[in-house]
Amino acid sequence: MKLKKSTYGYLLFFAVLTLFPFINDPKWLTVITTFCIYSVVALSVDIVLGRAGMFDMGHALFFGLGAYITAIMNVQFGINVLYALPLVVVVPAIFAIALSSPIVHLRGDYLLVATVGMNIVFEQTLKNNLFGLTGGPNGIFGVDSYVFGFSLDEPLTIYYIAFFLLLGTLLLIRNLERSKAGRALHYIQEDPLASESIGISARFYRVFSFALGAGVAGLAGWVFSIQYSAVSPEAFNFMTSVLFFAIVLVGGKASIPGILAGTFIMFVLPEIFIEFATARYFFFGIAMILSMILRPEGMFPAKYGKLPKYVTEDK
Amino acid sequence: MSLLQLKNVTKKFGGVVAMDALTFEVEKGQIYGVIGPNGAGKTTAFNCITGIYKPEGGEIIWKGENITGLHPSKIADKGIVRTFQNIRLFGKMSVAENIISGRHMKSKQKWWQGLLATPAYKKDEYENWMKVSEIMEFLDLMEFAKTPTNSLAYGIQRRVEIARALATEPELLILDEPAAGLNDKETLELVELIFKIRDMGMTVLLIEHDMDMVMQLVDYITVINFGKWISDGTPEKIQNDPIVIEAYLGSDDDDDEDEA
Repeated sequence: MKLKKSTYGYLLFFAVLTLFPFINDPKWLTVITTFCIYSVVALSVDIVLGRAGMFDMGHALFFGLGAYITAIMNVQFGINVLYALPLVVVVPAIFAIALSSPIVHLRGDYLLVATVGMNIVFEQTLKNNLFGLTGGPNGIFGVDSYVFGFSLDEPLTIYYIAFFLLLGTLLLIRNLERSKAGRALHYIQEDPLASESIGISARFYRVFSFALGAGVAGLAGWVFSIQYSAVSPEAFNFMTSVLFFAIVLVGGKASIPGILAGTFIMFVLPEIFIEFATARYFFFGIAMILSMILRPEGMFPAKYGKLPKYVTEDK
Repeated sequence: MSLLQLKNVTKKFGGVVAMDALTFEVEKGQIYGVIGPNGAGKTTAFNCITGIYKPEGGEIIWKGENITGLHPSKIADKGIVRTFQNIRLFGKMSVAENIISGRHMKSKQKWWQGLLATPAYKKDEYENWMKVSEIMEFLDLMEFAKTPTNSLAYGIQRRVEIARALATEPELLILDEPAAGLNDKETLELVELIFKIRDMGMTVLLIEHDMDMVMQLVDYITVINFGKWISDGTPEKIQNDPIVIEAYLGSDDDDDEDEA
């Protein structure tokens, strides 16, 4: 059987991630765990920004919602983190539907400002210790992830949880790409009027993309809160949303390899060059500008024209 | 009962009346033409029917049901599907991906079935792609299946847009100047195609500038000028109608006077 080049790429990527813990370096295990989580969030932002084409610069809100739900349930109410699982998907999705419904008709730049506003409101709410639950500016400490005799926040355990979350998300996005709903997102991005005139409701699919993106980001928030055993408002502020926005644009909208490469460049590379302290951000700023000028479609632009084999066969 | 009825449909833009109490009826199985000089309000009429504009007055009746002011996707769902004068394809995507967008309404899969790749999704996906394959055969587009539409010649893009509309299996196909920008050979092929589409049981409503084409193609014509109905009838009648001739030639006279 002849495999495609991209298949080799994925196999190599998964093999590296599977074997990564053998380097046995706690610092890098933490970085790569967060890389997996951030990749999932970036992929979820990409559903809204890259696929449905809406400038969502407030996505950290949904990521934070998942993390805070886990921390609040666990620390404030003593509920096992496992029971938070359905809620970290459903609640952010419901929030996304409620928050995006009034704004999805807005044009790109206006929508962007609205989502930024939502993210700021969210951060302020957390900092002001809403109902005494969110812990104020310091956040919530001491998430206890003891499940069935295992501590989920053991570095190796949480690493594999994050890895499996990434695998699951990649599978989900691949399925989305090949389905009616996933294609509809591309149509409404390219030409909402033409889409409407063949019966595709732009409004429905815009809200759908927000809801799906929020559900995935919420799940990533669950893993994130367990990894650090704590949550704080800074981790989910507007700057975090900007980072994910930039990852999608630098990597390539609607492109899975692009998003993975983007997360690597924007998150892992700064960790590698950590000895250069803040000077590294100077170079990153310049790299972002250059990448937009030289490759406006991203490093790995999305490819179209992938059809099931049976469509063009034997004709 | 007629398939589509416009009753005194009026559309204003600010103080300008783009369409003034337009009334006409399309019967099932007809090829119906709307003609008129440039700026007569033909495209405005089509935009009102397909829900892109909300008319200020009058009613649009589809099979006895008032559809005035419905959202475009709701109107498409009723079986009224259009093409655009300035072709609107999903340019980055391939021909096949453009055509399957037309299968959206007929495709039965739910969003979660797609995400989980359930057997029901796979069956639905197969059926719809096969339909696309069939349509590409019918319109001779197979060789371009994987080609992005923005790299295709104009005439082929037109065919892809019609293919996308056909994929929705509409009852009424609305074509906005389908022959614009086509050469003689392509226009002839288009006429053949429209006859074939009618023979498949669809009703066709079209705007066209190419008079030769309209006269050999349509069963019935409504002529409008300055947003108003001025005449209707069979092509033979319209060709000899003094009011119509004046509308087309009269505007030239006005120009002459201006110049003088």
